[in-house]
Amino acid sequence: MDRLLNWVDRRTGYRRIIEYALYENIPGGARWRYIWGSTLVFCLSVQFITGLFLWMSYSPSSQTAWESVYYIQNEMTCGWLLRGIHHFTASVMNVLLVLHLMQVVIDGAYKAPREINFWFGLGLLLLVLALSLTGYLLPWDQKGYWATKVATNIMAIAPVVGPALQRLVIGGADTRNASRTNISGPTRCSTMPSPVSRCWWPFCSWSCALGSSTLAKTSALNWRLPLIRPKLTPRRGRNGISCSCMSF
Amino acid sequence: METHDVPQQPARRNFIKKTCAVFVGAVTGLIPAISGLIVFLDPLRRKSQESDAVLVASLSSLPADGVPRKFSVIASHTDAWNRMPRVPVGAVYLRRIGDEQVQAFNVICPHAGCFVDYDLSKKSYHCPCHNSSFALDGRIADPKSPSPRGLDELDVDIRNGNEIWVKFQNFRAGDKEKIPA
Repeated sequence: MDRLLNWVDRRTGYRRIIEYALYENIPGGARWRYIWGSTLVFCLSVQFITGLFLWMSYSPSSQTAWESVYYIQNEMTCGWLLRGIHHFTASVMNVLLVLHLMQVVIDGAYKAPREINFWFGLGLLLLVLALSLTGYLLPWDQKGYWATKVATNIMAIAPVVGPALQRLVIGGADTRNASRTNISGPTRCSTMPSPVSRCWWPFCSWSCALGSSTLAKTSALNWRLPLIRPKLTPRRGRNGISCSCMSF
Repeated sequence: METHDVPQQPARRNFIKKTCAVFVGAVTGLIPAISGLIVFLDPLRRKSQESDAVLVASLSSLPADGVPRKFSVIASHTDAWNRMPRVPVGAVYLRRIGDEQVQAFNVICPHAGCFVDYDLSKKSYHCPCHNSSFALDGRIADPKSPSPRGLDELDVDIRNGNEIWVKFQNFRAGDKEKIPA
């Protein structure tokens, strides 16, 4: 087994990649309160995977959306499980976003040299909220329809650009077939995950490169400290457990 | 600069840690992916709809000289969440081969699934997609024909003296054998 893994490692360097992904220098060791970023990455991955499979069976139009969701939920093998995971992970993500943001504020992770990373994080926050809002409408049920109606009407009362923005988002003056295809097709499923992943990659890379934000609080240690490897702590144990809690 | 040495943990403890990590990772990571795959593979466990015999035409509407005529097959059809009571589900060629005997062929070419046309001048069926040709009785007319078998004949029942009922069925294309699709 070791020979096989060594053979794969020589050709792919996977051990280095795993070490880069799973290990991080954290002064003082790992803490439960540091897990929120990782749980969000986990949830986003789950949403991408389950969303992709749901998208294969979903039919976006005002005549077929509800029916196709009903079909996924009640007729397809394990459809209830797939949709359940997507539905509940979407809800959990909003809670995790708030917890993560609170952590950023409390630890001062928006301060130098992490400002740009913080701005990307804010962008991601908005994108994930937008995904949540638009995903709500996809089943085309009463709850989703009226919730979207309320949200887009609030959007319309924004000064100057409000009405135009509302028309752009729902594809016309009212929520109907065009909104269905607008929100599920181009706007949501195909275009939005793209900026999310484009923001996510630099966001996560910079987070690793800049080190834990707990460093920002200790003035004697600045962001270059991780280079001297104060204490190599595997974070995966806590993150794994927290991610499994998310999934159950 | 000061570095902190991490004391090495005993190998067995690392083993338990790694096993737990792999287990937790597998459970959390694989459940969404596997449930997605199961949903993706759902069409494989769907069976094709069994159709009963369908009234297609009246015997008097067929010419006595055995020239085939094409008829739509109207039946109820279920497509995922849609159940349609009376829609065209396919078409057949019917030809009289006796006073009360009728031959029925599915219009689908057994080669790649296109609809065949009847060429009146050549008295044969011709597929526009890959030039398969079939004789009046449905057999392959041209040895160069790419179709692996003749046109698919369907069971016919004459009821009440004048009604032609056909057990409509589609078969798998590209196979020498006639396997229901």
